[in-house]
Amino acid sequence: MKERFKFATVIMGILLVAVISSFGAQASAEEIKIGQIHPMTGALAVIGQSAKRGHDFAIQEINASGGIKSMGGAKLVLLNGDTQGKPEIGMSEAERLIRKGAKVLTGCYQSSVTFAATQVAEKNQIPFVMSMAIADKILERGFKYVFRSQYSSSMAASKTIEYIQSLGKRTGKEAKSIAIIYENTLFGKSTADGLKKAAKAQGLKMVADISYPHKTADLSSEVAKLKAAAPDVVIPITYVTDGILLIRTMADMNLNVLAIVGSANSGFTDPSFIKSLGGLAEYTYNVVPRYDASNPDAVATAKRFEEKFGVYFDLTSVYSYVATYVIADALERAGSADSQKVLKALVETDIKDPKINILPQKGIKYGKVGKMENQNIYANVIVEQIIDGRLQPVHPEQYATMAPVWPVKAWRDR
Amino acid sequence: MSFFSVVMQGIVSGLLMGGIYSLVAVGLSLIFGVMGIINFAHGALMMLAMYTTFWTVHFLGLNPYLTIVVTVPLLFVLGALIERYLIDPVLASDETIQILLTLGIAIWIENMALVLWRPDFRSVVSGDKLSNFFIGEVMFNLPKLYGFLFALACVISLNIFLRKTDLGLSINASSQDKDGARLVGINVKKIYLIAFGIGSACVGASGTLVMPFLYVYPEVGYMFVLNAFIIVVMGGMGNIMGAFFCGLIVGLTESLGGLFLSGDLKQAVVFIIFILVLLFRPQGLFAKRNAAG
Repeated sequence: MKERFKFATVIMGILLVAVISSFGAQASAEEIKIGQIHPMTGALAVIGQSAKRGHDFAIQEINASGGIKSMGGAKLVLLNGDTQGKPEIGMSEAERLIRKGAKVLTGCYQSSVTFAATQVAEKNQIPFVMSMAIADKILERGFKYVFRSQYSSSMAASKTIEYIQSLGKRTGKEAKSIAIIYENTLFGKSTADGLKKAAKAQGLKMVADISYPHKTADLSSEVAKLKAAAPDVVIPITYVTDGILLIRTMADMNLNVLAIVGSANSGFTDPSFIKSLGGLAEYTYNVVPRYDASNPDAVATAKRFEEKFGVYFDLTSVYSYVATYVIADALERAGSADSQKVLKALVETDIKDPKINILPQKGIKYGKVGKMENQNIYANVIVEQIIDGRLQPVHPEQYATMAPVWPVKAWRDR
Repeated sequence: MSFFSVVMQGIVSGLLMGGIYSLVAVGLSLIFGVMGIINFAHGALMMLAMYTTFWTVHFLGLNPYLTIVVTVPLLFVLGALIERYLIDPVLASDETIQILLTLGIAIWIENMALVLWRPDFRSVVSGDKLSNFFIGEVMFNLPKLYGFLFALACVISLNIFLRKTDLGLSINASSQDKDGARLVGINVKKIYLIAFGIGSACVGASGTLVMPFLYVYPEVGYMFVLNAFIIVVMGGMGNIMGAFFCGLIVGLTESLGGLFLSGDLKQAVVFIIFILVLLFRPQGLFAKRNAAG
């Protein structure tokens, strides 16, 4: 008897919660729910927190300036989903947020998770504006509801090769050969594949192609191979610890090249890279996106962000911020939260406003790039170099705040 | 860089890393040889030694190599405590229970490290200082060379200790026949305590020796301990000199494998050799005589 009573209480409780939450959904007729799905707990929790800050910041700004005006000043509300860094949880969170009334979804940082979560959005016909995730294949499945404002991994690779050539022309010291060295999981390998294709297409000779397991304690034989190949430019794709080991070993073995150019190398952007290498990190190049330091609106936004949260306006926050504005822009033009109308507005997106397009690119406009659908055709990366212990945008000239050091100083002259 | 120099570089780097692998494996081998315990917590102990070095350098500003006077006694005591209070009660139990216990200790230590020191990696290497020298085109990394020489010295003195001193001979006797040892009046329980302590002290020393060229994070032990298990089996379970030479072989194999094949395969080559050894010489390359080889 007691058991049955307990059971009944639980059922009642669930019903009560369901009724209250449905009231909640109806009462907010003037609210439009946006679901953000990021790794809020687990090993990547730091990333998820900074993504959420980006969304929160943008939503507060949008609501403070009158919400979605075409819908009578409707306010945006953020629903939070936690992927825990796992694809299957990304999917169930997407489903949960859609059930809770999210009209548009955004996320998920990891390519593998985004790959799975976007599938749910497509099936439910809910638009999904990606914040970050670079794998090409996410957009190569003919999906209609999934959009990306960021570059893809093949776009980053081909830009890297292009920039190595244009930096050579700009400084008069052209690179004739390159070598790639990459850690051997999906991250390193997919970028390396893109680089190989791009180097071949753009006529840059590749003299070494070296992979290694990133949890290695020693890279001397790999660097000896690099040295034997004598490339003009080395392109590493590393995580943090192996990136530090690689640069240190290159210095140890006195392997001097025109430049070391990371291709969307997450290791080189980590603050501990500069901290633990000190002067050896100096002059390292990295082809990455970042907010456009030559755009006064972007600089002002970054300043407001940093004042509000007391942390750096990092890339994850930047992309989440932009994604939120892309969604708001589409809602404004759709004049409705109806998914078909929002979808139509998203397809017609053409953002040039420097207040929203705070990235170093011409704008945001979705179209077909290669086999990818709904990819931002203007998506761009730029070249940064570590100068005086800070990452500085140096190339192309229109986005640069400093001149590049190319060729770099020999290890022994530093 | 000529082909010859590249190969020489591979050999030099391989031998230097191999020396470190040896010292890690020697501790593991000693514990197995004497007690018959497969100590899965070995890597976790190495990680603790690395953190000890890191924090000692961080707070006291000691030279990283000097911290060996802290890590070795500390790890000896820690090993002895683990033996006394955790391993000893299960010595008579089934092997599975012993394995689960040491694995449990490893997981517990790692998670404590995660809680206390977060997953960030830390290093005592100071910024842009390079310490190396060249012979021809072949680079010798000084921290690795010091590590190698220290490891060599440790293994040799351990070997002398086991062969020449009363205590060492008692350890040997206990590993050969614990009942016989008891009969001639050796306190086997105490010997086990000491053996486990020495085994842990060896991995403690290697933890200190890698810090000048490596970084520490809670799971760092796995980088070494998998190789250590292979080395122990290849060298003949419980054979210390066997473990030492096989450590060098594994270091060389990794390095030359990375050189001639793709870097992906460098660990695979080690395993291929390991499987071949198991197939054709399951007792190990250096057949076991006693703990001192």
